[in-house]
Amino acid sequence: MDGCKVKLKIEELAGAIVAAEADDAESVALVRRLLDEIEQSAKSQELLEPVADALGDLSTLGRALAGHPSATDLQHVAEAVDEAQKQLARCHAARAASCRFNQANLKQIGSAPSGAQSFAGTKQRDADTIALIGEFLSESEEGLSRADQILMTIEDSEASADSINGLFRVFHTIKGVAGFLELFDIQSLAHTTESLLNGCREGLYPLIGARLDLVFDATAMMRKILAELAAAVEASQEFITAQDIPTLVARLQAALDPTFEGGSRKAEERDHLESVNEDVRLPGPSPPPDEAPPVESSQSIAAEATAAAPAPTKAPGSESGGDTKLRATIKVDLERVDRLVEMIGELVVVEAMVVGAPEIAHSASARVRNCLSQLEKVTHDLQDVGMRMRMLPVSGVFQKMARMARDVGRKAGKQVRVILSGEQTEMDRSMVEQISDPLVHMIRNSIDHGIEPPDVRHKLGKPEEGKVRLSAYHEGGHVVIEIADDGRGLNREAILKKAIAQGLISATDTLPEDEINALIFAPGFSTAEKVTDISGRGVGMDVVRRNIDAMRGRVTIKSVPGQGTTFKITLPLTLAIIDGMLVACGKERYIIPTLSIIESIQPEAAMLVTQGGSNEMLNMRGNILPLLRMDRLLGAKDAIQDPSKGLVVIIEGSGRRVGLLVDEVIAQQQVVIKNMGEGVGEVPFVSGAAILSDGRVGLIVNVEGIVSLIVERRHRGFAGEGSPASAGAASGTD
Amino acid sequence: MNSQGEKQERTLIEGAAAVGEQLAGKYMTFKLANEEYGLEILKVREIIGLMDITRVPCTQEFMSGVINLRGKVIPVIDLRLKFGMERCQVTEQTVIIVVQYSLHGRNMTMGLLVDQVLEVLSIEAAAIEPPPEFGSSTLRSDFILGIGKAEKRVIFLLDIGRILNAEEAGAVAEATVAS
Repeated sequence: MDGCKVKLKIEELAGAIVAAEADDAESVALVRRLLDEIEQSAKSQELLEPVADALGDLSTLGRALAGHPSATDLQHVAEAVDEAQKQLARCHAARAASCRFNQANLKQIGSAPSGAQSFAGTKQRDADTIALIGEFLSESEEGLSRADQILMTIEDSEASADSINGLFRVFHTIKGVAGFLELFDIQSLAHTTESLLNGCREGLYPLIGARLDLVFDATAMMRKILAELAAAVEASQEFITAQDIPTLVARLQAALDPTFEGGSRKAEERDHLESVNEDVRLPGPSPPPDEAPPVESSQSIAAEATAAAPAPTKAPGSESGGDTKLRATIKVDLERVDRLVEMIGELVVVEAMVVGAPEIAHSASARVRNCLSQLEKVTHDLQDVGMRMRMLPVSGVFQKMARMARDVGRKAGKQVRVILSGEQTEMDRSMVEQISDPLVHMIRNSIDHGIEPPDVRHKLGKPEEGKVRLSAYHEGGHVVIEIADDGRGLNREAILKKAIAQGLISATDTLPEDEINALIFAPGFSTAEKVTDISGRGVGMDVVRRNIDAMRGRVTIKSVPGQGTTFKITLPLTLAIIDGMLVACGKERYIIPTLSIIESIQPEAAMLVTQGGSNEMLNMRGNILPLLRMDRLLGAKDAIQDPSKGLVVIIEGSGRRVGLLVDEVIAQQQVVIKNMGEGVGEVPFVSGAAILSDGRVGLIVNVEGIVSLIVERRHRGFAGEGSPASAGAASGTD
Repeated sequence: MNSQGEKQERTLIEGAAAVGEQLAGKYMTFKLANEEYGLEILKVREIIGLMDITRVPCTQEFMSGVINLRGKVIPVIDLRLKFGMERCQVTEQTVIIVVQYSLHGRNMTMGLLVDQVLEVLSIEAAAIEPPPEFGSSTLRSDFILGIGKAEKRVIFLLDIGRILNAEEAGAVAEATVAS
């Protein structure tokens, strides 16, 4: 059996390396001796390819220790040891999973024809294999994100030895694991990319221009294939990739030639790029002959020229990406975390019940009161910690967006610089996942329609390079994500024209600015081709709104013609808890999310307007808002019927405001959101339930649902008789 | 009724035996008006006293609302209304039976509002008959698995998974939009 002896040795080596100091000759000598021994015993054995590879790396790096080793050299060896250990462990696992494959089969991995049946690729996968694939997928995903990050850094500044090594390691690991999972397509793609990077590492050619693009492409392709693999495993189907890997592999292979100029790029794409470059190129050093024409500004050309020389410098700080020290983490089953967070939520509610109980609250004992305040503090700290456990920084999504923006900009023939800020802002993990889709749509729109082509920008006196600023920050207990571009802004006239044509508003309506902007979110509004042409924005915007609504967030638009558009997404800190206003309506109590409440007023009789005796409206300082009665919407009994005796809560959803008549506002409180329980299904106007401080269940009002009722009515008004009076009344705008 | 039942028994004798085999076991029996029903004991999680039920708007009448079961929100169904009987008068014996079962891979927990819980009864295979065919004119009755006989009592054995099927859960959502 291979590995056993090697494994022991490597373990010994791992121990020695931890103890070794660069300036301590004796410890370095011990490391070198162990390395030699491992090399010897590895030679005498038949090892699986990934293990052999890892050991090969190890020996190469070990040789660097011969002279005057630096701490970095030791660090590299330590990393290689780590990798070798991982590969060994995996091989053992793989062997258990594939006992029906004999040694000879496994050894042929490298030479097996691409696309052949493999135990990971076939329909029948045993539990072990699936576990291995799962691990492979998550690890590769991490690796690819790291690769993207490094690539972006390289594009912005220059390729350092460290960053190329980082990239190399990512593809190397993927190659190794794909190898013994017998995923040959993935293996060959990873292998070729790795070879390309190896050339850069050895200084044969710089990692810029077309080569850099190829690595970008390889990363993107790898992601796609892995997604396909994940889908195939999920559906327990055979894994056959639909991607055209051989073409990309061929392109990568072509780039291995040091004289490669990026000629294998698709002709049209290249033409396109060059036409862009005509506009872009500024007087400066002409690029070396072995570079594809870069699309970057003069700055980066200069930067790349210096990077052309192999730069085996020290790591340039954390900038190189991927090499920053990770904080120690453990993997925990998400379900357990959710359960814990849920229980903490319960504890917070129970705590409130105890503290609020009249028997205790009126206790004269100072000791009891002290204990209670202590309890309160501990519970809230606990809640804080619990919340944080689910929080992730948005940096992952932001990186992805920056990457996507680069691709989109390139396709659209525009120069776009994405500026990220506040990447460390943390958000609930599920929201980080959910925010990705809307961001993709908005950024795509910003670049595609918002930012003008370079020549137009030039004529307007703007810098040719468009800017998209993606920032995240906290504001008043909410997370805010902003997408700002410096493009042409929304075309208000065109939006209005379109909206009138579609019957969303009537020609006589005069809408305030934010309502006009909000029109681009109307479903169906975006699908008309014309809108894309005239207003610039719209594609997929209803998806954006829906996704953000689902997270109980809000999105507002600010747009200055000629100067750009800013989308501001306000999201709750977490999905599990909301700040709510507890309102009474008859015998029932409901919770309205505080985020959706604009204000609440006690209306005077003079503010109430009716049309046709039934359509009630509220005149709020000149703004006419539709007035809805909560008791009628939700079927509550014995509610106050006279609006001037009750309270009107002004709520906003989907950019529209509506007055909601309730009896009174009882309190503001944080509640843990629960679903209504299986079997109840979707309930209109109710988005969930929460346990109130008295232990009863309270229903959380679905503001979006209520507001959309008004919009529906308006639609009906237009589709039906179309009488201007009723339509105008139902629209409820001033 | 009786002679009809016997005729049926003769024609379906083999099927009946199979149904009996399948259904034999322990049942928790409860009362709705004068009728007795049985629930498979393994699906019953607990019995709780009547508590404050929060009404949910725009749901069907038999959906009493939701309750807080130690921090979990679960729906409560008024079985009397579900079976087309009159709404029950709340007495001291009115309880909620919490049942748990899995439907299409989802774990469902819900409460059933019943008049009175009786006992846990062991029903043998021989004492179980397949559900009678009422014909199409009557209310839906596919949630009755079989009929158990104990002494002189007749107990309708319920298929809890069918009391509220997915279709109905969806239909609940489509309940009329108030305005």
